[in-house]
Amino acid sequence: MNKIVATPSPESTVRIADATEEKITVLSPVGFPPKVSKKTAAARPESLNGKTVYLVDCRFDDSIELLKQVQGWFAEHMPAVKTKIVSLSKTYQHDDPKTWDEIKANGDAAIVGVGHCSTCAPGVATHAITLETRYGVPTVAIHTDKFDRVVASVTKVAGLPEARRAFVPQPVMGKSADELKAYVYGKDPLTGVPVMQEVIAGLTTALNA
Amino acid sequence: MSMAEFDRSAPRLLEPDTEDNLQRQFLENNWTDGLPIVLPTEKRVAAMLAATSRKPDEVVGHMQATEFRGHWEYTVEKVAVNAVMAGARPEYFPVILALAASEVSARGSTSSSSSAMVVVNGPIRHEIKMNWGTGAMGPYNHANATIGRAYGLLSQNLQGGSEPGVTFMGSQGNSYTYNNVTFAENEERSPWEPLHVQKGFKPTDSTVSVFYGCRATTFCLGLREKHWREHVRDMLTGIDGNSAPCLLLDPLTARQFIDRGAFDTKAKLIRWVHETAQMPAGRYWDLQLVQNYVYPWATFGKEPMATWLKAKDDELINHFPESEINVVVVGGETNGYWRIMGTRYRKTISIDAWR
Repeated sequence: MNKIVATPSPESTVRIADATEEKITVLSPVGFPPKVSKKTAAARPESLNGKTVYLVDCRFDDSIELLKQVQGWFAEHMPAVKTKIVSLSKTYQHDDPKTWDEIKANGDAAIVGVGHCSTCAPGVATHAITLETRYGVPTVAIHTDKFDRVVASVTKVAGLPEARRAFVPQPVMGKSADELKAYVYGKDPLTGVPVMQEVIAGLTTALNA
Repeated sequence: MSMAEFDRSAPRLLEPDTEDNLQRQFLENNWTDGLPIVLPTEKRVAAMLAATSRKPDEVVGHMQATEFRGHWEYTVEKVAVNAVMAGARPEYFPVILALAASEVSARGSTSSSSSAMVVVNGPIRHEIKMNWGTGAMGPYNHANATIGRAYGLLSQNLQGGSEPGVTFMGSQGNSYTYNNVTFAENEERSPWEPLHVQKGFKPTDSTVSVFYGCRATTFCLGLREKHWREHVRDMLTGIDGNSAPCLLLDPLTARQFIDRGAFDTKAKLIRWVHETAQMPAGRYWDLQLVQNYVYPWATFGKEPMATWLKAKDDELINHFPESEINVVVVGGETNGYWRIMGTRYRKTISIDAWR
């Protein structure tokens, strides 16, 4: 067997000591971030009774299946609220003025979901802020819990860090209707608050309250 | 985008500190790939900047980790800082600037854990002594290794980070991203025109081409006389439905494709690959990747997906469009091994423009 001899020479020991004590100046490797401009959220109604809430499917994975359970929850618990499911007219990677115009014209509030991938979570968060700030529609975004820090980062850069959102467990993909119903009827895994309680509060409570 | 949209208030220089403390600071701020870096002193950055005619404050481009994250802006000097950190030599800098100018992030935040792949063509390959022969895609050449690493570091630092859980959501990660599969094409031993000429450049131009994906890979040894067509078909079935096949051929195999199939141009081989890659429509549309990323476009009427959507479940469709298939020759002819990388071509950028 070969022996490994690892005794440093006196010269190399001195060089390392010098290198660790000398202070040097280096350049920052970081690029220039976009400037953030603060945005204002839409005014909230006191109640959703008699109002129309749009459920906006971002078209990723089984998002629409979870939104069907949200629609079922409203029918069971708040039948005075009308709901309508719409899918984005493009993919979640694009702004969708056509859909936003329809919601502004015919709706009173919106729920956008589900943010459950690396790009659709930023997409859902951004679309919700667009509805809030450019169309005046109170909006809550639904994401899965794995993307909470992603969403926090995106809403901060978008100028509305307090944008309302609720989280359900990951994954949504491939889950049965009963399992998705349990997500919607259950608690937000991050806050412990019932998911639909967060959603209703998000649509009816001012963001600075 | 205008300069007014970007915040340039952060200091250009960090607080002076010891080498050990600075290495720790870079590591803890997620400014590295987890390996030690060369500290970007003013002297080293100045030497890098001397390798281009471009001014240090010239804007090179804008980048973000994925859509809706917000583009960040970067200059020639910022790219130079990251090139130094990667251990690159100044003569590589025009290649690294061209990669930065592609505005394609090598640290995209996709939960599928993609990697970039970088192919260098033209005279610059000789000038900076890149490897296109034996071991070209491995860690055996300083230029290949550090150019690819610089591309990764500049992407994460100039786009606003690549931090797991915040700005990077790749569920499994991808070890290709350490140097982004960076190599040169073996133009001298290839029987066909090089990649950059296919993309509209002259043979005497120096370019860098960027691919993105690199999740699925299948490989093979040579082409057997009896069943080579079926063997390639089997390999193509292993490429994910949301990528495009890029054939990475050792020169031995490139010539064998000519012997077996009379493909005397890359275009003929690409057409054959397109015709060979088939799947029953019902099975194709049931792939989750296809449902998520291809199906919406089919419903919007985008071709050829819209036509595929009309096919019966058992009807065979040629699911890789001819225009998305690529062929690159690389390797040292130690044997006829070759592979198909599932990766989508993004851009070819002139290196000469950044000299």
